[in-house]
Amino acid sequence: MVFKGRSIISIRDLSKPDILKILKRAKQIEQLISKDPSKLLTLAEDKVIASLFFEPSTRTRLSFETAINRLGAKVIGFSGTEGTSVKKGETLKDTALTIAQYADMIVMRHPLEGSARYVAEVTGIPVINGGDGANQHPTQTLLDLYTILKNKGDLSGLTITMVGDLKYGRTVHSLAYALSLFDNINLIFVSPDELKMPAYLVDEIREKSGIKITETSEISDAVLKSDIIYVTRIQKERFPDPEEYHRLKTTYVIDKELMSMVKQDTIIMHPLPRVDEISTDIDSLDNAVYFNQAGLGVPVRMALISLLFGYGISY
Amino acid sequence: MVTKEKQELVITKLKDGTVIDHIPQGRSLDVLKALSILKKTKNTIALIMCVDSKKIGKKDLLKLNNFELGHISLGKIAVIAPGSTIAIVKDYRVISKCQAAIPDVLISSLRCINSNCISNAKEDITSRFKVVSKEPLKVRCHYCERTFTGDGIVVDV
Repeated sequence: MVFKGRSIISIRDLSKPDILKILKRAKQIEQLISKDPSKLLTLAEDKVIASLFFEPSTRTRLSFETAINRLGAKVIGFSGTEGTSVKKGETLKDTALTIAQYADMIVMRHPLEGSARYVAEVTGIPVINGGDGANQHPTQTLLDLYTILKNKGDLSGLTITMVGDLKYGRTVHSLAYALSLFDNINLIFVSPDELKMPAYLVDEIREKSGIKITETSEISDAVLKSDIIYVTRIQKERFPDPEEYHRLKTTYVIDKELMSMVKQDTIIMHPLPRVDEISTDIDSLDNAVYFNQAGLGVPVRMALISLLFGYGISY
Repeated sequence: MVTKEKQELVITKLKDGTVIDHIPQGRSLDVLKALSILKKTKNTIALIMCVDSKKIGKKDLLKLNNFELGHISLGKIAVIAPGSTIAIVKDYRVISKCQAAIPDVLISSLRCINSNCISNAKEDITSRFKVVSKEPLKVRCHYCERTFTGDGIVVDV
């Protein structure tokens, strides 16, 4: 796909070559950041990017704004709708059409699913979805793939175990979908029965790719053969019954004892924030890549922004 | 319009309008509701239910006087009453006939049941669903990307 002028709304909109192109650009940018970051500072210096976070975010917003700053573009926007015209009852369409008069691109997070696609359709300027309700968060998936590629050297021939809340966690939904585009992928879904990966998604991935999928509630066997263990937080707000939450949140904990069972080069990933599901004891292990994973969000988002503006990179 | 003759129901011929035939038994009221015809027309409507059919056993039938269907309505009929046939009548003659087929994309025909979908917000949005599978019908909302089957597929009325 031609990236210039496009929007990045959903991982479904990206083909395997698209994903590889973005990751290749991220690698170039990462190398430039460590070699000569000033070269990148003039790339988008004439651009203004609106960062519209209709609901709070730490990592995604700051990572995007860092990416924008590192490309020399200017950032405008808001975090939370307090003090904006949204609070006065303005429609999303009107807010978006107004901001499109000021900015060359919109990065947004919104609690309603499909909101980013709608804004892209009404404004006609590139929109990057930073999360729309429980639906999509494509840049998280791209940075997850980049982390895997960096650590494993390939996106094919891997066994990936996803652990925790697989029902509500949009990151695991999108990542599982994206991984199904690659060859010889073995996915193991470990979750309590209450938090299993939605059946429609499992069916869709199976139908589309013939990928090997195993669903289990036992973590021990799964981790033995995994190249990657992708852990997700069990979200308190999903449970009306606090007792149920407390029972489930400690079902799976990645700690030193469990790490003694995994292969030496197995990596532990997490979209963060974590609560109890990864013990802080293992943070210092080389296997624990989750903070670096969050850091890789910057070159990946820079890659996307530069591609959507149609810029080439020379280095 | 309906007269009794020789113990049979006879429906007079339609001069101009649309005939929706082979509606699965019991679905004609849903079709009428989905098309909002009663709100739109003061013309005569003939609704015949539970008619013997060689093709499908029992069927319903609608004759809509001076009424033309748009493509949105065709999509709705295809979802509610798959297999129905639609004939356009002008001056007592059928000038075109087609089967209500599910298109690849349903625009303005369905309503997303996900209350957190932007298409249900107070915005100026036309609903749009991609048909993932026609048999059994499975659709995906263009906005929230959720997939729906069976009772999850709701026609917009």
